[in-house]
Amino acid sequence: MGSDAKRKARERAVKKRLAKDRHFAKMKRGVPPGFIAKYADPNSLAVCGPVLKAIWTVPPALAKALTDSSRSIPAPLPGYMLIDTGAAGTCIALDAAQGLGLTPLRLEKSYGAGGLHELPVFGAQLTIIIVDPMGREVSMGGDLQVKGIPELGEYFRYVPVQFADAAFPRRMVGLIGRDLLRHATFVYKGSIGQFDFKLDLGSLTQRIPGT
Amino acid sequence: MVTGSTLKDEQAAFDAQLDELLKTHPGKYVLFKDGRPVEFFDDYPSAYGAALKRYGLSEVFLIAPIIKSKPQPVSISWEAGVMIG
Repeated sequence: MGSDAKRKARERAVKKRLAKDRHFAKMKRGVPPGFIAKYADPNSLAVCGPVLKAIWTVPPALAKALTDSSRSIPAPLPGYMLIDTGAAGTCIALDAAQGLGLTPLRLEKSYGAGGLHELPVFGAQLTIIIVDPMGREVSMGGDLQVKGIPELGEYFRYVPVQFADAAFPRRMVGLIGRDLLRHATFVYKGSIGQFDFKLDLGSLTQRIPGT
Repeated sequence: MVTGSTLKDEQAAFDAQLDELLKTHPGKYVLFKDGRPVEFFDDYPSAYGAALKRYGLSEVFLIAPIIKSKPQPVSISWEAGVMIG
């Protein structure tokens, strides 16, 4: 019994070491950072949709202006971003923009089933948080111009899904649209409640959309 | 000339002058204030930084790319009301 447990522990340690080696080999080859999100059951992914952790902050220009006028910079606003292939551009939840004290740069017309309407466009700094298979946190982001979406912040009120990381705010703060997905590989595996997301850093470096 | 303008006023003035701006400064970012273009920039961060420096945190101004844009879907599923069951 004792030796069986030891053998299993040894096997686990070997598997862990091999996974680590594979991971560092990928890093050496320049494989982009990414992760696999596995939901507790396939239905949770269907109900909640694929979400990534992210943080919105005020853009650098606004942070400087606030500092120069001796005003405090609003605290970063963490939450989840829904990967939305139906969205042309990455968006911020309107209540998140208001929480950061942002004022719109302009108005832009958008269309949907309800017809044409005008939405405010904000300048905001987005950081997407990716935890790689070794548990290392990789963050990337940019100074974007994003439309503010009313009522998006209410999303989780209607979605009864609990996340493993209970400490992270259960709040929808935006949509990741095709402007950012242009620089990513996204594989949705609905039948097993899993999605894979990888960012192409080389492509992102060439041009961060919205800047 | 618009004084004490709102963002809607600035937007209306920008929309009305867009065709002219497309001839003179295509692809640039414009800082718009009181119904007229103030300065042109190569990118949005420069325009926003200059606007905040010039007008501070409480005045209304508009920053927009000089491009012929079409309305785009924010999210078809969101707009159609089918994102949440």
